[in-house]
Amino acid sequence: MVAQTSFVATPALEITNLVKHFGHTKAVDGVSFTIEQGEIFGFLGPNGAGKTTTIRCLMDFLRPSSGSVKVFGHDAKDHGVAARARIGFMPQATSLNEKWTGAEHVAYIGALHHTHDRAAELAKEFELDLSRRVKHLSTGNKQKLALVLAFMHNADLTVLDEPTTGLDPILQQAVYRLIHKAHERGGTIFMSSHNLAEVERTCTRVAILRQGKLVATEPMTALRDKHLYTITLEFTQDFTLPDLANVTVVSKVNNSLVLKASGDLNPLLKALATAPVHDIQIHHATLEELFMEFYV
Amino acid sequence: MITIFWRTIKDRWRMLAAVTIIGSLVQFMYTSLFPTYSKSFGQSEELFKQMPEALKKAFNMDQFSFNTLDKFLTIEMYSFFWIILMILFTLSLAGTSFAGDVERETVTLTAGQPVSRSRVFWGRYLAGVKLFSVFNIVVNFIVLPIASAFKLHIDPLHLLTIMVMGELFGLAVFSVATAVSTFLTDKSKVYMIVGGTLLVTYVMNIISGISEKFANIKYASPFYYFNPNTFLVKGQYNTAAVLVFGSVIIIGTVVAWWRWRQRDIL
Repeated sequence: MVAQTSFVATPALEITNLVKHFGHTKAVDGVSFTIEQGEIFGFLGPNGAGKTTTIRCLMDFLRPSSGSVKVFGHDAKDHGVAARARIGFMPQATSLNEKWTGAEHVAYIGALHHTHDRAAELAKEFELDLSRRVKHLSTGNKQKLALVLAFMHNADLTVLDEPTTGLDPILQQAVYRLIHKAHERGGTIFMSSHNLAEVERTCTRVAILRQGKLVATEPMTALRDKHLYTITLEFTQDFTLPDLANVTVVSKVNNSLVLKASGDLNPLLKALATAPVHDIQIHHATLEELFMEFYV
Repeated sequence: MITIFWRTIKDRWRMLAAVTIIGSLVQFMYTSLFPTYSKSFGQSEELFKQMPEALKKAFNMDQFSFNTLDKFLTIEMYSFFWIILMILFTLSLAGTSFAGDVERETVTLTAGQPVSRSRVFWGRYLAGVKLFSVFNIVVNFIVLPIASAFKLHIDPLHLLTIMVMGELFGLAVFSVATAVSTFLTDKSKVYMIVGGTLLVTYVMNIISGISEKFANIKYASPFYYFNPNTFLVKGQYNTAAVLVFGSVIIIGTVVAWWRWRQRDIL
């Protein structure tokens, strides 16, 4: 008889009941989620939701009030060195040392990480001059340098906090390419963002945080499948729409009606079958509208 | 740790150069002026004799005389200027290395890498010790070639004594400032708290010399233990000073190390 062994990969990130208090304020309140290896995981939420606090606990900048954060099985607090050895962390542009050049940043972090294999290649891709001091760089170039520092050592888990802030659309595309290349190599990406369109096009799964609590953790497809529509109707004469579940009248001006509808549209279409419809426009909601509708 | 150590040295060498050059220039100024002062030291001594005894004691000037270079430097350099430079330099080193780095959030550049909090602490702390030691050694021993150039005598062993005691005093201030710095997220508060405390203890030392009623408060002042007259003129070490400064260095360093490992750094 041959014994069968199944290998289950250790999660790239496992956050269990994370709580972080600042005095009486609960910045993070019982957050739990797991990121499997190879995922591109988005971390969404309005300002003050607790995204940055969670990332800071993951990096061991902050010590949790309770709960645990594990990176590839290593506790972020007790075995922080082993955990961070597998993380490529993108510092915020404001955290760069104004007096150092880009090359000095690369050399310093490379020495602490024992590698900076791809720094020159990435700097070339971003057209970033590493010989200039940070204080002489524009906000966009500082952001590029922060990205170079995060991706230069091909980390197993790349942690990005608002990675495209300050970048023009062309460079944003370059960042998305970088994320996808890292993903293709088998890397895991954990990125926080305010830009929902960015998360929509980049991530495979998303966690939504609000007031320190996890509202949802869903695959991007499930988020898109929530089917939220904005419908603009124009009638040839006055028409009163019957009350329907999941349909809200946003505005009514003369013979025009703007509706917000979710889920199955068939009841609405049936109600409109006998209506004097002159024109109809149906728009799929953006992720932002979805977010506001379902999670805020 | 070595990377952090050398990076800290590299970031602070301009500050080291500035305080060392200023200290050396002041040493040069006083040493070169000594021959002129010594010619009129009789008048100065008469003036000094009229000062209240308590005041002389308070400023560690109980054996005032300008007739030798070491006595002159004790009064002019080591009772005031060297102390000011030492305090400014050590506070700056301690404030920028910990609270200042947290304040600017540049701490994430180091703490976000696979390096323990302890290594970050010791890399920076030992760099501070090295920087202060370079300042202390240069500013003290630069007197030898300057004195030689002006054909003046000063005992190298006495210079060694004040250098060693100055090192202990400086490291005691540095350790306490580092401990305070690891509790705070604003370097200006470190300067304010430690600088303010030193000022208060300086005043305490003066008051203890003036008023018999408050004679015992001098024991709480580091300025009581740092007596340049004993170190530079007599070439004697002070056991109490060694014990006090040594204890403060150990306690301050352990508290700072413990706190840095525990704290939230953002």
